[in-house]
Amino acid sequence: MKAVRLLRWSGSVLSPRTRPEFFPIRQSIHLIQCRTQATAAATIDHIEEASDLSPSQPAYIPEDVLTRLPSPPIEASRTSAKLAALHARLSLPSRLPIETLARTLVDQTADHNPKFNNSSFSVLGNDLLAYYTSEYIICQYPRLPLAVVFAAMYAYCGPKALATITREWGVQPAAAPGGEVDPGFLQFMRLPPEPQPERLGPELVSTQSAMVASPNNPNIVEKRRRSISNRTVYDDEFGEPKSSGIEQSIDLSQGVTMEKASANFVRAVIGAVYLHAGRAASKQFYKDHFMSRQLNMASLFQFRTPTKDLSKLCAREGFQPPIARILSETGRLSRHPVFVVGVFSGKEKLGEGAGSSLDEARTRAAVAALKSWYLYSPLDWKLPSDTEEANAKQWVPQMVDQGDVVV
Amino acid sequence: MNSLLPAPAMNSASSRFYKLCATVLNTASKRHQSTYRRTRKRLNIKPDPAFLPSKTEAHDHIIYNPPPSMPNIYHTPTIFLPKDDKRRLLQQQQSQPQLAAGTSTGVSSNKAKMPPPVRQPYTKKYHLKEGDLEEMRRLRTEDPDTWSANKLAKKFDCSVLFVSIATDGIATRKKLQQELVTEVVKSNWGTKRRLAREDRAIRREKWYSDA
Amino acid sequence: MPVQAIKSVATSRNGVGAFILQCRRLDFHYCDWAGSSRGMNKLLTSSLLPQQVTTKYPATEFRISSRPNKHPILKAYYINGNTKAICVRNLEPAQIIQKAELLLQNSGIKNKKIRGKNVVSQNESVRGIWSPLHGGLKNV
Repeated sequence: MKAVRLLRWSGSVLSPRTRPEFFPIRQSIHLIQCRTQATAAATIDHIEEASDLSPSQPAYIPEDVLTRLPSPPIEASRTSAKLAALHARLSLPSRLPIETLARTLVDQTADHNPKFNNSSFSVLGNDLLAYYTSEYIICQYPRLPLAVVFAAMYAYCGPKALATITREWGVQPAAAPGGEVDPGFLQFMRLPPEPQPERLGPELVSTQSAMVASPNNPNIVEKRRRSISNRTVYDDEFGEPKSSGIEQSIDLSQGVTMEKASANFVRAVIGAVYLHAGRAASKQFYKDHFMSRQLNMASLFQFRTPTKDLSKLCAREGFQPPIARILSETGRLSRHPVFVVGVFSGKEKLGEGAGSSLDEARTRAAVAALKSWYLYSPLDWKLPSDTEEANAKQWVPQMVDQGDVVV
Repeated sequence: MNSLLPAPAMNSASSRFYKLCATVLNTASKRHQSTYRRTRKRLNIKPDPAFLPSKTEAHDHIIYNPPPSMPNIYHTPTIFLPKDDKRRLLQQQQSQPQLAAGTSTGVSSNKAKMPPPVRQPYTKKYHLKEGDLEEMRRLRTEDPDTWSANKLAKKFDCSVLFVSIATDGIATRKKLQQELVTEVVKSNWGTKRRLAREDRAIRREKWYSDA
Repeated sequence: MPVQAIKSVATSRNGVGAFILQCRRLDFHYCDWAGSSRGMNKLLTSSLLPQQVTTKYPATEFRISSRPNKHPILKAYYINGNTKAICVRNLEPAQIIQKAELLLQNSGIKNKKIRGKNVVSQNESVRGIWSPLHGGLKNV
């Protein structure tokens, strides 16, 4: 895989940032003793020798200037204890400057200027997250049905998961964005959380066809069949229409929900690590913070006709048709019978299920058999991104499955 | 139907152990014992020699003791493994008769009798012709009350599912009527029955996701 | 009909990949006047604090503020939203550092007895859940 030269397209992201409207004011700034809370070490100095003024100390910006700024000035990030603590807590590479970390915390609803908000970082970070997660899921479980792949993607790097990660990183939202706010807070115009529709069961990755806007013209609503394979092309990485993703042109004056702002922050951190510390560091960061999370793939499946699916699978793969057999049972005529049923193809047992009725046990056995088919994992799976490094082993083609059973 | 569980042999180590426990517990059920300590102390019995490692044999063999539990779905059955997977060979070796005896996951050997099927397997006959289907549809259209799906299935010697597919959308009036009846019946349910039915539906939903 | 999928969120396992120190902020409160703050004041004006506490825990934000006419306290804020405070009146600097480390290394979860409770794990049991309908006793 050919590496993209960073400087060619990331120039606007890494270029020195100035705010033209505030330039004349900054010239008149005179050095006064730092008022803001400094990093841990600086706080001590402050107590020990309060009168000492070193030339490296940041400039004091008057409060009326600060309150007119949409987001904290760059100088403030160097003296923010919160920000330094966050940098250390995430064990971010030292090549990632603290100013960039401060920028990832500024949402585009707080500061509309793309040079000061995290939107460009989060676009890059979103792509990286989707790439790393999808290759991890697909290489580990090559037979997973597409709906389950979408659900697994959502579980690892969906907006809900990213909001949880933000909370677990100890990042707190500011009440309202502004120049006087500590740059260690997540800054965005806050909207109340979106109302969740009431439902009985768990939320599903829908496989129904639905009314969607045409991809070319959003004003024309057409009934496009949103089949599950159609979504790999038209929809985002979670199998949802793209309009709900980050590419949507949101109304900047409106604000965003906490969930969306935190998701953009986490994406921006990954993008920033990639730009400042390189590919290997961002991969390591992803491994430490995302791959280490736990998800039971078997709990994502929701079948509707497992027995039918299993017989179709056996017919497709050339196995003998599945037969349910009673392995053991107890208390058939009592109030609490237990049946253990195994599904066999010829002499081979495919799956086993227990239940309080023969029907339940048979269904569960079929579900277990289908899951053990879909959750096959090769012994020596390797990620495509592992071969990007200079001294990596050569790429060996991975197993590709022919897809899920369609009945 | 008789239980398919193997009955424990009367002189096995486990039965001896259970007997010992029973005698110990019987003596413990006296009065004036306010704590469980004495019982616990008495239950601290020396294990049966069969449970201990053998003294005569050398201990360089592998003890194969499969778990007495439901097989894990992450352990892919041999038949589901691709042709070039190394686990195929391993699982075939493991399913040798001396090891497979009494296992829950292993593949039974050729001599072993297969357990009884839940439903007797049958072969599909494909005996109905186009004329039969037309006859079936005609009967259903003319008198849906007499010719229910069950009766048609018996007459044409096929499954109810096949009848429902073949006569789909014919007796709409009867379907609506049936739905109305169901609705009336459901409206007469009390809270307890309704809740119990809803819980049952939720439990049934779980069959399709748990394993 | 194709298989549907249930939406969920992967759970974190702190320390499996990255380790996130749970104490996000530690406040040192002192009083200039009261005698119970003598040890605290000594600690804050000495080089012990940066040497033994703040540089060792860069992932935590430290704040120092006065709390006049009150006993000196240490107050820790945790990622899970809890706070824990320890009163350090009349304690020597070394003892205060001990208390600070106690707070810094804490997970922020409410203290509870673990003796006699079952071990709870997120990982699946290797041998599964014992079932009376599978296998039998073996003569090893």
